[in-house]
Amino acid sequence: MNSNHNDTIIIGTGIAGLTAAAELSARGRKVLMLEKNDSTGGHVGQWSVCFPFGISGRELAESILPQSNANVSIRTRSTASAISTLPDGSLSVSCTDGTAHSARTVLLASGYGMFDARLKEELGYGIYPGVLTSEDIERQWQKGERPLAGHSNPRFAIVHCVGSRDLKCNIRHCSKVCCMVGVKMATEIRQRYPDSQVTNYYMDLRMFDNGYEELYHDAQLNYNVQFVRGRISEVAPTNDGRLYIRAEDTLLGKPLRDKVDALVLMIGMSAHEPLHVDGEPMNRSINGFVGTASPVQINLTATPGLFVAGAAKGPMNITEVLADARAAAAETDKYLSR
Amino acid sequence: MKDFGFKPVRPNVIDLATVQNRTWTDILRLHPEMRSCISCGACAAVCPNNNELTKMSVRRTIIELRHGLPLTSEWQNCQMCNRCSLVCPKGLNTRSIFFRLNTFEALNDHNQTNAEPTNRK
Ligand code: SF4
Ligand code: SF4
Ligand code: SF4
Repeated sequence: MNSNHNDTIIIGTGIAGLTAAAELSARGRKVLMLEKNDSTGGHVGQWSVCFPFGISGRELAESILPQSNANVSIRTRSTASAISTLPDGSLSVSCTDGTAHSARTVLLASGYGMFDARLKEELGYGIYPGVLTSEDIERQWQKGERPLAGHSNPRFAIVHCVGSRDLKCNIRHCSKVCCMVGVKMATEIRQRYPDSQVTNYYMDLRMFDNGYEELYHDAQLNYNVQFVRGRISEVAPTNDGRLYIRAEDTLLGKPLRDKVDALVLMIGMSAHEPLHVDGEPMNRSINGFVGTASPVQINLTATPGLFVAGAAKGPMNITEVLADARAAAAETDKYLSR
Repeated sequence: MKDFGFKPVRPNVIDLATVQNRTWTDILRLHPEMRSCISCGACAAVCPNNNELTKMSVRRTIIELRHGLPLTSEWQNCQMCNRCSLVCPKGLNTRSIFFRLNTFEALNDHNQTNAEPTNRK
């Protein structure tokens, strides 16, 4: 076991982990970060443009925690598997590669998983190449790829709430950000393909945060994005290599069809399997994400010294994650000062 | 009857891939802000004609125009009272739509096909 020279171990190097690491290192705390992937930045780090910041996820992540920081060391390809309390009250994190790391506090910033769109078979993901997820598109754009290049007048349909608010998939929660992402993506598609037609299919539009409603208005007025209240529930291939889709326009009570070149699914955020702490799975909140110690202690878990930040607790947008991670860092620092 | 190049496809189905909404395009030329209608129905709720005196729904008319559908709403009954525009949260001049609807040549698309819904080939 490593010697106890870190004040905090942060699990996850998405924007929550990076923000907390930056805050704690600024307060002179030594931080070890564990990242299961090859690189830092989490989901957001793979996004081409973040609303409302207008920069790429990679730039955003790098602006939070610049690469070199004397107080922060990062171990990639390290997947935390369990946490245990040591006799002196500090915590030990064991990883799947057999290593263990200990510190007085642990901050869980492990984020969320993306819903596996293949589970909604009626939408044809993994069956028809024209069906993509929001994450697929963000990654392709981030890499500079241009799907559907050469199509004239490409038609896009964007499906909201895929893997959210879906009792059949045992997912009750709303993923909160995907309405904004769907509308943002619609305007981006209209910018990248000026001769395109984009239609968003929604159940409700939940444009809750600053700038979201303005984005929606802008999408209608200046980008001519169409909005249909209804849920696409059947997708089939056409002879000319496109996708035939069926929905109901529930505002008119009429069946609706379209033929599109690409169907983009706004996949929701799913909770990770709970980590085991002292042999027991962690408490979960109503939506299956990591639960907190009390309604007021929103960054502490039931285990002393084990804190939690960001979308590990449930869907959050970037602004919320930044605020939450700073609060978690402040709580962690307070705990360490005791 | 003039051949407009229409043929009945599937009554009652909205086919976005083939829809022609020339009237809507004409309306947008005058009132581009009509794109921002959110189908809230505030206009329809205060309209004195709304399914009380006559079969008219401002909200429905707007969606049907947008989809290029035959107009099922008796919009000709509009009394130009302006109540719809007063309550629209998007500040849309809906009355002006009805005022001008008659003048759009392309409205023929909608009138002549009122009885049987059609889509362009
Ligand atoms: S934010 Fe919108 S798209 Fe996402 S789950 Fe909620 S209602 Fe559905
Ligand atoms: S102006 Fe016409 S559509 Fe508007 S409320 Fe009056 S009658 Fe109804
Ligand atoms: S009140 Fe305005 S926004 Fe609402 S349905 Fe009528 S025109 Fe659309």
